[in-house]
Amino acid sequence: MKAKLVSMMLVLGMTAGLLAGCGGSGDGAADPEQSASGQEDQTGTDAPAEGDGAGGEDTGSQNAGDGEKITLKLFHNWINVEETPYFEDIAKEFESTHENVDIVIENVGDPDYRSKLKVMLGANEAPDIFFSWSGETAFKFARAGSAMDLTKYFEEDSQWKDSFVQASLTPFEYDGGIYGVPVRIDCKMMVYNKALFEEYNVKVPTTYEEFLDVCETFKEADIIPLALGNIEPWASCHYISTFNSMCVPDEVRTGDNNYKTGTFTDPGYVEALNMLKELNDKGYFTPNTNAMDFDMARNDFFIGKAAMTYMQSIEFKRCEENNVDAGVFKIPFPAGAAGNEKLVTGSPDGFMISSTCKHPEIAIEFLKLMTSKPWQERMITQLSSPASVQDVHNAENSNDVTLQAVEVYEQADGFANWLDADIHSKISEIYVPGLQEVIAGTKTPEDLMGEVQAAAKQVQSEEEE
Amino acid sequence: MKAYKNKKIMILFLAPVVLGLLVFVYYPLLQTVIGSLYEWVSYTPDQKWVGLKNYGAIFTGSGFGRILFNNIIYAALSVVCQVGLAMVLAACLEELFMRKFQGFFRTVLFLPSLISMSVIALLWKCIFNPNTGLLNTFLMNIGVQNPPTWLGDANLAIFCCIFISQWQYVGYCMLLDLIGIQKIPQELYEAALIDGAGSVKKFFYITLPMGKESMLVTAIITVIGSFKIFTEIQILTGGGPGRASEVLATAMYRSAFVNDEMGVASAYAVIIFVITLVLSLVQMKLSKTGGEADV
Repeated sequence: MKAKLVSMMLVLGMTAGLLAGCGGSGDGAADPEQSASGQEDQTGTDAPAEGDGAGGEDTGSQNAGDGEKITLKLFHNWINVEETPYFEDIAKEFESTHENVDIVIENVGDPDYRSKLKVMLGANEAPDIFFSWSGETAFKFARAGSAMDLTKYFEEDSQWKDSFVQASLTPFEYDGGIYGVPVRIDCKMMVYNKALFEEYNVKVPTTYEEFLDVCETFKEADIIPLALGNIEPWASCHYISTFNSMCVPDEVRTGDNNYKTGTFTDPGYVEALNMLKELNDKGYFTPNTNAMDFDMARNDFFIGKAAMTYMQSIEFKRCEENNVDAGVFKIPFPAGAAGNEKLVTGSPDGFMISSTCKHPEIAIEFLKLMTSKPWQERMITQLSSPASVQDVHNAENSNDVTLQAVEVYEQADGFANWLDADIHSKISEIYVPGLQEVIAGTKTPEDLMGEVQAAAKQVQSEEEE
Repeated sequence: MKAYKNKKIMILFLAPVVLGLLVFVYYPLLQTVIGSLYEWVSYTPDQKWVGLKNYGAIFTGSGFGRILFNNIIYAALSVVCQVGLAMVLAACLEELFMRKFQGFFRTVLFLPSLISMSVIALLWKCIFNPNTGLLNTFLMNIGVQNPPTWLGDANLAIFCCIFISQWQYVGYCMLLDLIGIQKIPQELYEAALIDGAGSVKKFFYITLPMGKESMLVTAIITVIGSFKIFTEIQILTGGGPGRASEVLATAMYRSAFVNDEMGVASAYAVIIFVITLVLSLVQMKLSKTGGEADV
């Protein structure tokens, strides 16, 4: 009997061990802790630690005594070769004027960033300042009380607040408060190959019909009109973000994005899906787009096999790197559609301050440094990320493509945020993978919206409980 | 000698591993079970008691049938290939005329299992690419008009993933079987040879019955492994297109880190655990009754 019990326990242990092992092995995504430790990056440890008292530059808001060492933990996901040093340099400059402050930087790439951040905010090691996307992603942290309301700091320094591209603040507003400081703006533009446009004698389209005609011209010439790899459906989700903003009236769409009021019953949503389906059915996307890797499809554009591709502004520098003479335009607004023509698809990215941060005023000062003109300018030249602060871009520090994009978003009414970042995750769980099925023709747009409506209803009823 | 009977010393030597098991296996296991009864997110400490609602949500969810089907078909095909096919391969390599090349084939077939699954998945993703991939380029060159889109096809995606892990692990299981076969006394084969048995008969009447034990071991490993697969699905399709290639582990990951439903994710973890536990118990039981054939 005893032996049986022991063997039972052993079996239990074995399988549990296997189960536990499953998380750690193979994919790094399952174990954010592990992947981050390799990249953990402590800057500032060798910064000048002496210094007699806080210098004259230190503002009075610093409530810490002279001797006390303040450590601020910054957590971000900008891990490219050029990006990491950018943060180290800001930290160094900040530490040189704030001698008792030590900025500790940690970073990890996507998609591990999201999971690790959530785990860190839950454990007792929440970073003081952390990167976040705007929209629902940021609202989630605001709702859970993990992020601090920064409104008062914006109010205190109106000059600072006014320096931002105003539309970039809105996506961080939740329940009357501003919860994030926008640092860069990421928006989606149609990028085209100028040489191919010239060769086939087509002009930048100004109406949606012209846009379809341009696609048709390239298709007949055996050039992929729109490079799109949709094996991961967020790629087509970016198209739908745009089409929804075109087809659905603004206030209806923002109402739907709020999971408390969302119904998704507007017929515009089906129209938007039909627009997506039309582009695929007419053969304008990369063939077999659902099976194509995003980057592989993107490369078709860089080697001149595709004429256009829908691209985020943070990727624009890749055109230059690949020697593609590129131009940008906004997908033209379809005549008679019910949405707002003056929206740009995209969102600002920024930093939030966690509610457990002990020195928020110093964290804000750090973010002010980051959003000051010199550092924003360095961000656009070094990282070619479009700035969230006005009047930074000029012909010297930005490439043509970026300048055109900046022109577009500075005139915009606002942003139509990425659909998957803007709606409740339980709705996007149905909506976003469903786009693949709509493209494949295994699900009709009406059916998909029916499922989305059901999901929206379920989310509401669960929240009311 | 006395030391072996001293209870205190026994406890002393067993303590580290028992403690380790308690802290790193049983405690998290218990936490997972408890966590599956609450509604919670990883970034706040608040937990709301919901009882078995998380399990209800999983079982009544529209995708659960598909998820279970995917895992079961994965397990079934893995057993056929990694237990059946591997045994056949091992028997072939043990044939007299193959002995000379055995070393070569052993290495070649075993090598894939040494490569990280992530690397293999990325490699096959390129091969499966419908427009420029090796596979479809070949098919089009031999005159196939409309080759399938593989990972983009809802009906084929899961089978592509299954194929890859068979490709990777058949060699590994074959090696295990080979060791099992080499343990079989040579006299049996010689006696069979004298009685006029051919290769096929020798395989069915000697190799299979005698190699039962090693086959059971590989069966346990593959079936349990099949319910835990994650890497290949996550990298190749991410569960797509739609939800066509979703399995338990990817559903668990999605609940935890995309949907912020740690309770549901814990419930998935418990379901995976229960399935693997039951399967291992069944297989342990089977292997006990079989016993190792005495010669």
